[in-house]
Amino acid sequence: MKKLKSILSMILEIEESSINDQTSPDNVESWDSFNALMIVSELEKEFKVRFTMDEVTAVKCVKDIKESLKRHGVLLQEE
Amino acid sequence: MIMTDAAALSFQDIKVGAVYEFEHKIRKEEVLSFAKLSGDYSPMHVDELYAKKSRFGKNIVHGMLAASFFSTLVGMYCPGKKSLYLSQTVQFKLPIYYDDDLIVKGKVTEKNETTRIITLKTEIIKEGKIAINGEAKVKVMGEENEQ
Repeated sequence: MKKLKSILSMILEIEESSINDQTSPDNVESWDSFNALMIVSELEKEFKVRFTMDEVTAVKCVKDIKESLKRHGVLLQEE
Repeated sequence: MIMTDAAALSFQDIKVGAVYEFEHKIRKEEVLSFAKLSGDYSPMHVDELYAKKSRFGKNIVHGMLAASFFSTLVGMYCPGKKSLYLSQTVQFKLPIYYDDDLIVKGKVTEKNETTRIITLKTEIIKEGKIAINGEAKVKVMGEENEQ
């Protein structure tokens, strides 16, 4: 989770401490369509995975990102 | 010489490491047109006497006018008509004067297959030195639906 949070924090310009499973485009103003693509790009780079466009569009909040990463075999460090 | 027919590169056509470039000289008339379009009539750009007394000694081209040629690079050369320009960073390193010979250059540094976004290192070169640089992110639109 730590790396995921730091990526989200960097792209969305929000505090890591404010990020939780429910964090989503609905409650973070900076999570717009451009930053959503930047998040995909950074996650793929960091975790060396490749998402499908269906997976990308299915993501509605941080919890969905975590589940998607898990399906790709990424083990997130819990804080 | 800027071409007038936009390229139509597909995502697959674009290779990491590929370089796209063109030459251009910004004339006084273009600077005056840009001043009119943007409303930036700063004397540094348009008043010869004022600029003569400044540290530059002569009129300089608006940085944003020169940087606008990154848009030309993206929209006309790589990817061309299939581009959706997402972002552009810009650093102004050296002054550009009227009639300087410039090379506008973009090097593909990254491609993301999922998002179909390419990253270009963009530069404007003057006398072999970087006058302006930055980074562009461009989505390459598909054949259908996204035009």
